[in-house]
Amino acid sequence: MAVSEAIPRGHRQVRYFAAIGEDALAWVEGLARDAGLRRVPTPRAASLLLIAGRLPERSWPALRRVHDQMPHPRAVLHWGEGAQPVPDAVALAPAATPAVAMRALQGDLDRGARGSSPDLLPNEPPAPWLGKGPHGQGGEGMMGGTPYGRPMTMRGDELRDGLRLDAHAVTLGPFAPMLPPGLALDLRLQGDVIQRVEVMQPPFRDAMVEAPFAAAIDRPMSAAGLERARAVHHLRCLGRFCALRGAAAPAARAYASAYRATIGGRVDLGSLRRWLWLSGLRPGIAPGLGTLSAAQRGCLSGPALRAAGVPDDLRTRLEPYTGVGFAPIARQAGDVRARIDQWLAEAAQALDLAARLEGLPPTTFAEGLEGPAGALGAPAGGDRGDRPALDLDALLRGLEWGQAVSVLASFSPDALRRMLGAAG
Amino acid sequence: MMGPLTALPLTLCVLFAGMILVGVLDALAWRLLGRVPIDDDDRLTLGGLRAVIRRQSISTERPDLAAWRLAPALYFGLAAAGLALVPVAVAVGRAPVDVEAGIVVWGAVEALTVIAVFLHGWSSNALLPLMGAYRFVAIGLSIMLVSMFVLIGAALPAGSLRLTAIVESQRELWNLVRQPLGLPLFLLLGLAITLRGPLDYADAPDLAGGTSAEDNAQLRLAWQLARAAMLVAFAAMAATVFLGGPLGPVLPGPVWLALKAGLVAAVLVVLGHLLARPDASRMMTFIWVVLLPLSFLDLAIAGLEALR
Repeated sequence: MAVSEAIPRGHRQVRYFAAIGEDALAWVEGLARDAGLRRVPTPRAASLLLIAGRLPERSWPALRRVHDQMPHPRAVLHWGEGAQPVPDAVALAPAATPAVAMRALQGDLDRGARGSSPDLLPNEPPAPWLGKGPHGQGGEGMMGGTPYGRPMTMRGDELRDGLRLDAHAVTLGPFAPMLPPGLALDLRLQGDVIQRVEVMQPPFRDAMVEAPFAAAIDRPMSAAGLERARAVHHLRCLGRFCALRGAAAPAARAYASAYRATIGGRVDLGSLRRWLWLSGLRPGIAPGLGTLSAAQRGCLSGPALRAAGVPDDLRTRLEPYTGVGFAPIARQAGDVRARIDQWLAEAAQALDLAARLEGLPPTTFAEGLEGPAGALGAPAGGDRGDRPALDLDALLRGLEWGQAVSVLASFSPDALRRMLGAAG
Repeated sequence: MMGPLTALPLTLCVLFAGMILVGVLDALAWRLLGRVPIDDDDRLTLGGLRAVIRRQSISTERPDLAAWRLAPALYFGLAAAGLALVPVAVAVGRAPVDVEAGIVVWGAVEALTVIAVFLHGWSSNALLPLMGAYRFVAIGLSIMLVSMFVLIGAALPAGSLRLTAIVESQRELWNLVRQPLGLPLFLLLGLAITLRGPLDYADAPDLAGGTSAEDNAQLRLAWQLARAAMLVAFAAMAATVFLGGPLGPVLPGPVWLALKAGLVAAVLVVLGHLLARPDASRMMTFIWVVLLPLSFLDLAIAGLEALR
């Protein structure tokens, strides 16, 4: 379906909800640089559904539910490749810049030039009508049947203080904005304390992050460019973490630094450090939060592994890094705080390396190299299969919801995907 | 006290003017301090208002619709009630509602805000809003205790709970100087009751907007407007209790009050954008172990000063 060619007059604000698919997180986060495009945290506040990247078919049912929660008038834009999960979505090539199309769509909706996207699911109760009881729930009295298809919450032992408290079950994801794109969790909660976690679906692949590193295995790439890409990755992870904890100013600094590093500008992380300090981000995180048990530590890699006291880094063995005296950064604690510190320290180190490696001839890393979330290529390929899969339930059980979200955000989405044992 | 025919329009006019200022401050902070990828704060821009009003109003499965509508009304009403207590000029009777125990009434406004926020999270019959609501109650009640001690401290030099008397008592020296711990502690309460920054446990990004996660169209707008209104009321109250309210040379009293309140509002907006939200349990410990003793100390300083 075509989008009206006319660029609307003036400054039009577009509120969109992003359903982020494979390899698209960086694209969507890049849209934040446009002040007129506002990514809202809930489909209820959006008029545009932006489907970014390819969506695996198993997440289409969830997408349909997200779609139908948007109020009319609404429109859908699919930015990327792959089959069309919503019939009347406007398709946009991956190389296109969606801002113009988003504004035009919003303009068409506002003028009534475009019909609202119809419901994808039938408007019927999620639970079947069983004929018995006031809600057709199949039973009489307080405990008969399951009204609205949800079993009554029953009391269970509270994990922290031995009290008994109602426990409820909930499924979140794969488009929940506080979780990595694609991650779907089946949770059992008491209040906001996590009692049980089951991973329904690991995060989507995000190969964009590793693309330049993966390419360097086969053909010569500039090591300085790779180090800049590493810094960009770490800074964006840091920005995402800050934003989830409500620290908008340091988050924006982190993203701005990442952007400057992307375009090859000079980046001074001093200002980001000061904003982070002022925001009180670090002291607000409980020490020891998100520490993996000794048995689980084997599934860590890259910066998260080095933050847990293991200075494993392929760069210590590879030219041209050995030539400029590279030494890996490591710290001991292995908790969320340490992983945050590690991102910042490694981003600064990567930028420094990039400056020192500038002008060297491009290198092919046929033997493998250190990617932003761990070793890539030959040496790593062998042992990756042996790594244990992360037991998310053991890691998150007993945490408050906010803490659990922070623990998940302290790993890059792609690292988390691999830790959860997803292939590829 | 003014008659209701004067007091009501005056309060509402000041409230609306203040809300416009809050919208401008938020937009400025967003521009100067930076944007984040997910924009959880609904800034009150004209474009935003227009977009919201045109939206279809949709609901959740089996919501408590009456409470859903009542919550923003209650929140806004509390803001208006709080603002009505603020003396606009230095003289007894120069507040829209000048009551004997004005500062206690403000304490009630604070406490009832917890009810409004809980009702908002409760009413949509959905999980994330409810979690936001419960989290807010836990933190809100704790920070309120701190605020009560701080407010009693501010009333001590005046020897009265009447707000005009509290303003009068600051003619020589503002409470900001006399009780240096008071305003910083009170600002934290402001962050809590306006759902901002480090004390925004209700509408936080880790809950996809928390109590607002299921709001749309007019109800969403109403909640955001009420949130801005509460910031106006809080800023005016902080200016009155700690910065001498309408006291000041040359300019008329109401202008001084507006300037001081505007400054407090700006500080809160900046803090809201800057400060990170701690883990809820860590914040709870911080409030009981650090802030509450500090508020006792503040009260002790105020008491010694009053005895002198």
